[in-house]
Amino acid sequence: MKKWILAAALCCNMAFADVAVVVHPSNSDSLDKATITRLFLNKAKAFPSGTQAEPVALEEGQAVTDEFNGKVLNKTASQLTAFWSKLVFTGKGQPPKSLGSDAEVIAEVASNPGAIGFVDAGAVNDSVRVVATF
Amino acid sequence: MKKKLAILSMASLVAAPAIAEVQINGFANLIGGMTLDDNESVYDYDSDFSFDPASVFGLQVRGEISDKLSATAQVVGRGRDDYDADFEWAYMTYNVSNTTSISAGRIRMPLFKYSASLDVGYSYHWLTPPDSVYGIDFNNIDGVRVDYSNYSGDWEYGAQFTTGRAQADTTISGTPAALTLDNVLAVSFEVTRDWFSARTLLARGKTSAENPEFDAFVDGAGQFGAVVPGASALASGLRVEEDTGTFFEVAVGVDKYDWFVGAEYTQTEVDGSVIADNKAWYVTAGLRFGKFTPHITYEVEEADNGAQLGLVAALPPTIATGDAVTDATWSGIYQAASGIAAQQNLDVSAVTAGLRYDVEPGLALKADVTWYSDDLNDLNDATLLKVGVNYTF
Repeated sequence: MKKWILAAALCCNMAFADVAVVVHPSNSDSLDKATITRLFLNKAKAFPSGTQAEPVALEEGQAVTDEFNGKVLNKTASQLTAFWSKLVFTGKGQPPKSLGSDAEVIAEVASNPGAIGFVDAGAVNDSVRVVATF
Repeated sequence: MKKKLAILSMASLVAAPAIAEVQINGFANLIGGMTLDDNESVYDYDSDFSFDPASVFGLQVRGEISDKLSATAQVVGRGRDDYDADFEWAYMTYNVSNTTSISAGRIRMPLFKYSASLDVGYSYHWLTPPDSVYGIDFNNIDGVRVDYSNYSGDWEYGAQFTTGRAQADTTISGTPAALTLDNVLAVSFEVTRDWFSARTLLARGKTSAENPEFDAFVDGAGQFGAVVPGASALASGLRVEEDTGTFFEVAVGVDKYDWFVGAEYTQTEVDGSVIADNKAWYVTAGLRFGKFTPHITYEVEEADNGAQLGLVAALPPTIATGDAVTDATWSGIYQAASGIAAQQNLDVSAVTAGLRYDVEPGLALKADVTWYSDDLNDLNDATLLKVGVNYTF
């Protein structure tokens, strides 16, 4: 039985992984889903405290990215691409820079007081602060 | 993504040292179409399959000069212009604050809901937006645009103010003309809340159109001002010279992800000109089943030539000055004026059913069928089939 659970956990681990939204430890803002969405969709450019925000994304194709796009931004990868194409080709904004792994996102957020990123909740460590989990 | 990074690093090699970061984005719409009957033609398509009328490729380069200042250029090649590359946009943007930016140069005029991404077919469900509303001669303007956007509670809202001068090729009574819009002023507002969005725009500008043939005709009519009552009024009422043009647009949309509906309405008037008052609208709806988006659209365009017919109605069909040549010339002018006024009437509609298939983020395949109907002349009715690929990176 235990083996089965383990197998299930392994196979579907990625799909059911919780997404943690992380910021620099010095950032004490509390952020709800709407605020996080605005920061990641270029609709708000600063944290409630006034600090300029620099969102960092995980690359497309990762399970956590799909999870974040779906649960938080309410968009599929295709919809998000369409959304950004509208902003990019009007000069209104550029998508967040995207990094290849949870570790890179954490390293970036830990080193930048204005950064906000999302990672697999299991990958979080003390160098960043979790503002929300989805 | 890797490709993008590779291009980015290449771009940074050639970029001027002052520019910290250069972004290159591009889009491609390869659209082929044909009418389904030998003697049918619509929207520049006929019964021979062609890629020319709607295919468009573009490349955009944006350099961030500083946190606040960026420069953007977009080079576009259109099938209908033999893919000659043209700088359609070239502007600098200054971010005044987190909510306000100013762009100056050659910019997109935010006339319609989909104006901003008009050439990026990937950003909407059709292969091309409904021609009734979007089939306008100009989309870009040389000038300044101020963009404001903010949010309050669950509402996101924005306003845009645009001013400048636009030039484009148009046609007047069937022959090419050079259109100029001076002193253009436009304000637009938009609101979005979750699945609901709405926007409106009001614009005005001094409209002129030069067409040697038409201008010669108008001058000829004007010369009869002394002998024929109404001839001067005809000349000034048809000539397109510094006439006040107004444009109004409103659009609403509901997008519940599994399904969406939208509608847009436009109204164009150019007072005291041959250009008839024009009203156009469409409603569209679609469903999303995973990667498939079937959709349907109904569009209508009507032009009311009442003002132009009124000018002609005030004229005598024939005059008797005693000089046979003068009398015959006037008859010719009257005939031509009647013909031109009558031509300005328009009453067309179309139904488009289409399917979008999302292959992967940035790549979509589409097919549309349009049943076009000219309510004034059934001979212009046509059925148009289009297939295409939209790509963006």
